Amino acid sequence: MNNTLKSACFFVFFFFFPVTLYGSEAPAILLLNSDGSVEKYSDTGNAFKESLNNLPLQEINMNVPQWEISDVEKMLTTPRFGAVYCIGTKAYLIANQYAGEKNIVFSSIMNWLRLPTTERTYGVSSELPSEMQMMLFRYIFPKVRKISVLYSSQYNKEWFAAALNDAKKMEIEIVGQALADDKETLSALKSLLPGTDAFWLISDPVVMADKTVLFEVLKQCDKAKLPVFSYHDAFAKYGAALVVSADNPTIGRQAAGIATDLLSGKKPEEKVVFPAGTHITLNLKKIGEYGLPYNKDALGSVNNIIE
Amino acid sequence: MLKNDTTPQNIRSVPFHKRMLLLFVFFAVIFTAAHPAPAGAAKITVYFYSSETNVNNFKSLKMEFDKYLSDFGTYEFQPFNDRDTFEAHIRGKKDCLLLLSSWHYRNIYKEYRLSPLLVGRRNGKKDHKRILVAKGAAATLESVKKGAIASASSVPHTRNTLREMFQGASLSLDAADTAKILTVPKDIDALMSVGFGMSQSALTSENSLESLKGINPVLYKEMKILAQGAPSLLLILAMPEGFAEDSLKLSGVIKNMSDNPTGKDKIKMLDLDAWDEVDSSDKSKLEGVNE
Repeated sequence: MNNTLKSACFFVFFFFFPVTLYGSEAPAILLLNSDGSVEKYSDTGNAFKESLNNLPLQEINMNVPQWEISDVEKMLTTPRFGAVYCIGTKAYLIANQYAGEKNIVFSSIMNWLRLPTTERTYGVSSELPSEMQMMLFRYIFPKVRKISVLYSSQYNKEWFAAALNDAKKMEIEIVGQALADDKETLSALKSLLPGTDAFWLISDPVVMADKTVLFEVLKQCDKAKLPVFSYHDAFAKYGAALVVSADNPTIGRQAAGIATDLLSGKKPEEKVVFPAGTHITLNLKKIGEYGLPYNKDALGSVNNIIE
Repeated sequence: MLKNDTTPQNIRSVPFHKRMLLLFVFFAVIFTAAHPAPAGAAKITVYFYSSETNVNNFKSLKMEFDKYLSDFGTYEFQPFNDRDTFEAHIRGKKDCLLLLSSWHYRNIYKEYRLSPLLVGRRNGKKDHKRILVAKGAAATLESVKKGAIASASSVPHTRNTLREMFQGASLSLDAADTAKILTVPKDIDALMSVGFGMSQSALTSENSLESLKGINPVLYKEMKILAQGAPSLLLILAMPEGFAEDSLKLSGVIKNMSDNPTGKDKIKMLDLDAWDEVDSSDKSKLEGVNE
């Protein structure tokens, strides 16, 4: 598309299709979605929009070819937008570069700490606090007391130290082994598993560096009839017994709360908050195979049951 | 020989498994002809929407309940996650049963001409109390206004419960209407969100707070109950007017779920242990003595 045509399109869009902008006097929110075709992003975005209570909003789905970076940049510098909500890393990085003095709220970014932030950056992390995850492990499996974890000091040393402390509150013992290299994974696992009640597969780039090793970890746990607890539904398909992850619509609602506060001039107490809702997948098929006791009273809280 | 020629003189040339298949098809046709499907054997549906319960495992619920109910007849289960869609869907429907919260029942029973059949039971009780909790001994009802109230109930249901709780309290009359509500998937999430600072307070049930005691005793000790609502009946199974006769069999199947090992597990998915028949006391709680 040549530049004249692109400018014309932008003009037409901006002045004739402000469909979601009602009450043009009020400051509006610009929603930048990295890819609206991704289910978790669209779930988050939809919950965000539903929770705005008719606040003016303009949405840009960055996977739609009509949007080029230069168009997005122009939108980001438009004064009518009082805050920008970014779903996903791509959207955030662009907003962070071009939004100037505007407040930015982000969500759906794995490990947000690696990203550049400013004093105007707010958000909802994608990771649940370890204590919250362990609470749900205890809720579903009250008899699980000793959980093994593989982690790398490079990425998860602080996380592991915090998890050790949190575990004590729930009378859980965490036994962990730090890895320097993914080549150590299987041998470390072999020495770690005996005597534990479950294996906790955390998000760690070293532990998960190689897909083959990852599948072997799941295979070894299965062989030992040891339930695997993890953070992503994809692992349930490969035999994880319990998956506890953040609930995407709740993240969207939390982000809407932050954006609404910012637009009304209120500063949130916390810059970045943890997700307030969880999504639980329970693999009853695996649990049956292992003969594991579980809390049937907790079934009402389970979102997805695999049988 | 023709490929499909199965006359007696050459039937022996048809392989054994094919002969068995033909025999099976023959008997299947005879059986179907002798036992036609009853006229008008349309599926009877149990529609589910709860403004109150923390149940949101719709996909699993649909699958598990369909599987269970289909063993007893042409029944199916249809959960909804949106009140308006649920109400639009059940409007004018007669051949169905409804599973809904007691608060929702009270709101719509006249308009939809419903009668209550069964009431859920959990831990030996047919009702439960909603409570408003915050973290820390210093928390007060006034401090609730500072931040979000996490709740697994729908926003209208949450505001209604808060209105009841705030009546007579020092809070202004519109405190329930202006409160910032954060909807979370489960009661346990509401409690955790208070525990980890994502909300100022949580509207939850006594049962859930009791569960927290066993899961995280340290966090449990830090929780303070700021207000509590009146007891309300658990989930209600209701029928629309004109479905009395056919509803008996299906409501019987549902009532007896707790006597069946598989059914027992399925009820747990609704956060219940069993079902009781609605008695006159329950009915007056649901429909009001003077109404």
